Amino acid sequence: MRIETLLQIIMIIIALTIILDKDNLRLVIFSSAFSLIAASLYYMNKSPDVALAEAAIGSAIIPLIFIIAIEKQKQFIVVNHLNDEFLDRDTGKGYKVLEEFAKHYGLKLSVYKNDDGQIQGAFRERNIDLIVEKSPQDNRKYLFIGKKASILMNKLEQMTKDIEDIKIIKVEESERYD
Amino acid sequence: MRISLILVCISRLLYPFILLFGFYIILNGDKSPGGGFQGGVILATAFFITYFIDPKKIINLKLLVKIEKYLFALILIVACISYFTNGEFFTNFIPVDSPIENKRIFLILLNFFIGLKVTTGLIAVFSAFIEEGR
Repeated sequence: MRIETLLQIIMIIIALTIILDKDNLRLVIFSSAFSLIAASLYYMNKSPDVALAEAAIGSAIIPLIFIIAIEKQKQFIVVNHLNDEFLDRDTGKGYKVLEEFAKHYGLKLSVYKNDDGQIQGAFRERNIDLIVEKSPQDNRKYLFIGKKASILMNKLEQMTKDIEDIKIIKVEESERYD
Repeated sequence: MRISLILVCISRLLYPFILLFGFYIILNGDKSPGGGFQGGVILATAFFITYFIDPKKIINLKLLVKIEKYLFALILIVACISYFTNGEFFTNFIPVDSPIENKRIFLILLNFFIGLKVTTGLIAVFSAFIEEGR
């Protein structure tokens, strides 16, 4: 059997694995291997130029960007507008609720105090998952403000249904709410 | 992100060699496989490796984008020099009857600037991506 045929068969198997697999991290490694085999096939078909570009982009840059994207996806960013100890790390009651929520869904919870310089992206404003405020009317209630489109907000609403002094408010994506 | 010590060591070892390979591909682009784009991508990969060495490194993005713009202008200027020597845009500025070693200069210059532009562009994209979630 020629080696090109063998590589093509392996490539088809890897492509099917990428489609059927569910684990994100393993999938990235498989796509990197796919690109490497594609690069060697390009070289065998007499186009070393394309092979160089494919090897550099497909098997180095794209997996790296995907891995960082997966890592960033695991963060749950909360902005704290309160002055009392509701969201304190050890004693706060709200922090315990959020920590339990983050632990349940495998997220990494990071609470920021109201500091604008700390939480800005490179080109646009930072993508914030949740804002915690005190209710203007009722002094004992705390408002959890988040995006309407996010599935996590629905889950959080179900989780905090029984707790009296937490109220969930969902706003549209385009609205400015901070 | 938690980064293991072995990865950091290997990255430090590989970094200069990847830089060398990138410049080799750019500067030999006119007579062997590769060229500005491929070499530029490899140079950008060499930069990405430094992200493993020092994840907290911060890049001045505005400066990077500005350098990229100037490099684009430089590529156009190099391509337009031929108007003053040959009377035609976007051709080799060295006369046609000169030996081939002299004619290479045009290709090497263009490849070099294209490679640097690709590098800065990819680094800008990547840095914006990293900065986003910090």
